[in-house]
Amino acid sequence: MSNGGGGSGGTINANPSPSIVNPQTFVFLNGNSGVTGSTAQNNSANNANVGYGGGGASASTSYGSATGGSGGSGAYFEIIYNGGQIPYGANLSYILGNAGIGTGTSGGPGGIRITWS
Amino acid sequence: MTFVPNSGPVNTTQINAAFGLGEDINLYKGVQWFYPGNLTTGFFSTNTIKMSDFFGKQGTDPATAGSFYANAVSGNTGNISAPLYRNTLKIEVWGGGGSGGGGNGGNGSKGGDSSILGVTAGGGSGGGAGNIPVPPPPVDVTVSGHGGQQTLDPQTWTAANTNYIGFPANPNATFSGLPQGTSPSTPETQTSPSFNGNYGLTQRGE
Repeated sequence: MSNGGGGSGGTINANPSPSIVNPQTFVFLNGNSGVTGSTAQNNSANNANVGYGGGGASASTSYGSATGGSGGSGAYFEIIYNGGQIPYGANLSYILGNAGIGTGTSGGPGGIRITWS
Repeated sequence: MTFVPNSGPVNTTQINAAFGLGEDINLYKGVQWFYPGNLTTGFFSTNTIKMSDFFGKQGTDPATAGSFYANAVSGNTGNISAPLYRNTLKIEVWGGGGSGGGGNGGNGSKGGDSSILGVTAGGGSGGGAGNIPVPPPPVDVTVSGHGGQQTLDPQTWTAANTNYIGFPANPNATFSGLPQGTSPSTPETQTSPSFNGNYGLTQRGE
């Protein structure tokens, strides 16, 4: 028997549009790779845990038992703008990726959070 | 949010509605003012104030703190109109997480990519599947085995002065693999040696 390997973490592909060439801060973080033979956590990935990798499922037969690897987490980035850098009323369009769905636990969905002060 | 009209006659009731400090105009000396919809701000004079100084102004900051959140469960695409903010605006984006692998077969699947403003956060890959192999079936020993062994009893044979196991009679002929000797010109009786050996047969399943 053999446990499954962990999935790779997501990566960042940055091709910023002209409207964000001078933000105050860029933070790019590639996702974390999954863990080999990692049993699923009791996660609520489809609600709050955006970007989380799902856990591997465990199986057992009369010949032994094994566990699937956990999924890699999604990449993350944050961009911080100073006051006035994003014009009031500018249209910010976004795309969010679905969670991976498989035999093991589903991953967390893609998500976005915007906070301002 | 109420603000004072941009032009025309202005009365103290309108000023009080926009600032909330009362209808005595002297109460507004040195007070901070704002314009609706932009970040411009300033202070009224501490000496003399004219009614026209209130044109288009209000007493509260139109830029307020706030937040927005969404995930792919509620939709894969969307738009948000940029708010008016005075200090900072932070955008955070997560790619979808990969799913876990199955315990005995079935790899996980990749999470989807998320993006905004030309930056993409890739989804995580799915986990690999575990594997529990099924051992091969055992060999059926009842139908296999090493080459067999056979014991031949001594045999008696008679040669005649005629065809001898298919060959013309030849008194000088010799035969390999058989008891050595010359073919007799007259019928003769001989006895083969006994054989107790292994044929060396090989069968499948050994």
